[in-house]
Amino acid sequence: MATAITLIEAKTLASSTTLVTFSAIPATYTDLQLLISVKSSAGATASYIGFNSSQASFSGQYLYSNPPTAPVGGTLARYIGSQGSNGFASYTIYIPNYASAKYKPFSVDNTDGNFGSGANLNMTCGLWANTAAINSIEIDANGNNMLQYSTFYLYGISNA
Amino acid sequence: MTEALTALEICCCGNCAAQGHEKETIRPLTTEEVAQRDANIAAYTAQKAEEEAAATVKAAAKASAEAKLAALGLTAEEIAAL
Repeated sequence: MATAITLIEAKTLASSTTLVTFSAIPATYTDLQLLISVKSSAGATASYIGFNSSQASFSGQYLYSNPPTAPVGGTLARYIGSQGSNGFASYTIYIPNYASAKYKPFSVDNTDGNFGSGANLNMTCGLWANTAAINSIEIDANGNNMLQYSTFYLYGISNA
Repeated sequence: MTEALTALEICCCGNCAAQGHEKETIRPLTTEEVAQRDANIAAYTAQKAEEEAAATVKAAAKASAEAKLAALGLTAEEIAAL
């Protein structure tokens, strides 16, 4: 089989929602990629990821840059970045080997759309220390609503 | 402001009609999800406070170091070049 990227699901929000879940994800791909464009009801808010309806056994590190302030880093489990109400924020989430019986690392790059005069960078890596195959992905905006016209594209990556 | 807290579930099975379930479901957040939301907010608030405190300490140390260098006779340009 040739290397391929397949759109599993695409969703544009018709109304505001607090939590978006992709469930019953087939285990037939090698990796998963989730692309998000989202605006939230809060001026600035964090976003979090969960797998299989679990928030346990996660760890994560981030590097956050808000020019001209020097970048800062830290650790925060499940954290994938930030977003705001003044513009759409972008997220690219990559989850390799999501169906394997190993722990699941993932990476995220995010640029929030909170500031009309600039953009902030979040680079994040995380680990879900669980050997179960990932069959659902949950995205939440720290309890704030993700607004209408926010988009979510879930892709499956198949290796040759 | 009180926002309605809802969850949107999108099924990726690719065969929803045959399996007799909806492709998309909108429901209120569960008690557990609301509790997790509150925990997330607390964790994020604490993390940002920690970042701000660290930045304040760093800025104060930088200002102190620059003042000491200036007292030694370095110009502002020389300090900036370090």
